[in-house]
Amino acid sequence: MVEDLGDVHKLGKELGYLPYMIDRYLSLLGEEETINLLSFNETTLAQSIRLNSLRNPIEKTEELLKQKQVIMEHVKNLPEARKIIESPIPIGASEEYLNGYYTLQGLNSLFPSKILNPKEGELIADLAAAPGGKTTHLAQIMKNKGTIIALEISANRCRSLKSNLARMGVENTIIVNMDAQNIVSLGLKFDKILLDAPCSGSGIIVTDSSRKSSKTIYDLFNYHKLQVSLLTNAIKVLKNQGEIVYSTCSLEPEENELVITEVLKSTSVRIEKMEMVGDNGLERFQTNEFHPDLIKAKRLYPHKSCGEGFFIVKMVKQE
Amino acid sequence: MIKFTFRRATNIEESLVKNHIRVEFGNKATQIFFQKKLWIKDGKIIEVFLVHESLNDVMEEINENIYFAGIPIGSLWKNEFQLEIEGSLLILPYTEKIIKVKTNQFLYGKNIFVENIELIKFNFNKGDYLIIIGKNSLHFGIGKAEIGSEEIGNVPSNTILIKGLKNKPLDRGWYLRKGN
Repeated sequence: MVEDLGDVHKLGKELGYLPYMIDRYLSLLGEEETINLLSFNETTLAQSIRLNSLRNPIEKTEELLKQKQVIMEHVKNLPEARKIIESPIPIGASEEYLNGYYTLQGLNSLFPSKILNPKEGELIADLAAAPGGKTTHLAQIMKNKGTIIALEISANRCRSLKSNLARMGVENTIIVNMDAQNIVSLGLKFDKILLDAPCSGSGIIVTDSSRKSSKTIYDLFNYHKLQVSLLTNAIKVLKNQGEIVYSTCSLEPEENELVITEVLKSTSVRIEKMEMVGDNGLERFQTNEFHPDLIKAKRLYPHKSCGEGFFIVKMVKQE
Repeated sequence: MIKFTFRRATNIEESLVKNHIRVEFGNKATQIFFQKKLWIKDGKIIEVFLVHESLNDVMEEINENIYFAGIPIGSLWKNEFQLEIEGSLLILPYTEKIIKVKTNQFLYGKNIFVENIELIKFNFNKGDYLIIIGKNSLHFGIGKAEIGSEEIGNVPSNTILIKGLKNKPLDRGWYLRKGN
């Protein structure tokens, strides 16, 4: 039983967290929930998959996996997702996986593409796209119709993007190896944009424990600068009334609410309400006051959503 | 940043690809080109992509570093086209040159032996390309026959029918071996 805040810090230290992280979890969540978060991050997250209707009808893939004694559970509001309860086969190496009938994907990471809701025939940009979990999901929602421009700065990561898109049967995507901060140079105007921004990844400690200590508070400020630049430039290439979804797998307000608050000062977008589970975005954190509409954003905390942590906000351009 | 050249296939490249598919898999197989254009990614290996016409306008507009678009179907090497994983999957509905195997070692880049065959849909000659499928007709990849179908009954069961090639994108296990 943890008796005071010193004990929470002690627990954090024992678990390998940098002290600043515990400080801010306590500010964000309070003592009891911080302990819940730290405890949750020590658990093993159940595997989950997204069934890929571009390759095979969902019910047929489900039947093939059942034949192999894979026990799965449906997920509320995510008809294409299944939680793996038990599997006698390596779920990331089956013949069905290799055929792209499904892919491994965290459940919460399905929300950004769902919220963007691209339509067949639209021109979509996916910024910082590798390894392609969300790109292939966008293509699935679009039924391989329309066009996705997927930008990725790293040529190495473009290779994994190519592999995943090919395996999943994606046909409507153009991969461009470039820094998404320069998206204006493409000379295109997009109907919708997904920016799942590079981030500190503090929401995914449950799957990557190195994140407990790999990012300092100074890294957060560097990510913040990059995220503001990416989002500002993305908004420039959005059509009037075009929609943009900004997401991170970080819990840090500097990478989330503070980014949006700053970008809203210099661009003409409004925040839209989203129909999804999760806590509302923050109104303030420490000395920072955020844009009041950020309560329409959503925060998925790992311990509350039993998944990876995410921040998601949807905006509409109004020139 | 490395500069890539992603460009429309030349007439010669286009005829190399289309002729190979016509000769190996028959006229019906050329239906995979319907409403599609061939694009090329230059490099040590020349990669061939099948791109839907609807992407062409946007691709012409983009003057940045296109890494790829559409479906990678194979590669060109010394004026020969090699059909690869996704190209063979596209052709699967249009050809009879298919063998069904009982085991999945081909997915590990290993050989297929005569004893591994479950079903042959069509007679073939040594050197022909065959599309390989497994249980539930799941696609495994593509390979070159080391013996003709008429020899199968007369050779030992451990005779190699198709050589596995771990370092080439011919079987779907490639996505695990080299994909990332």
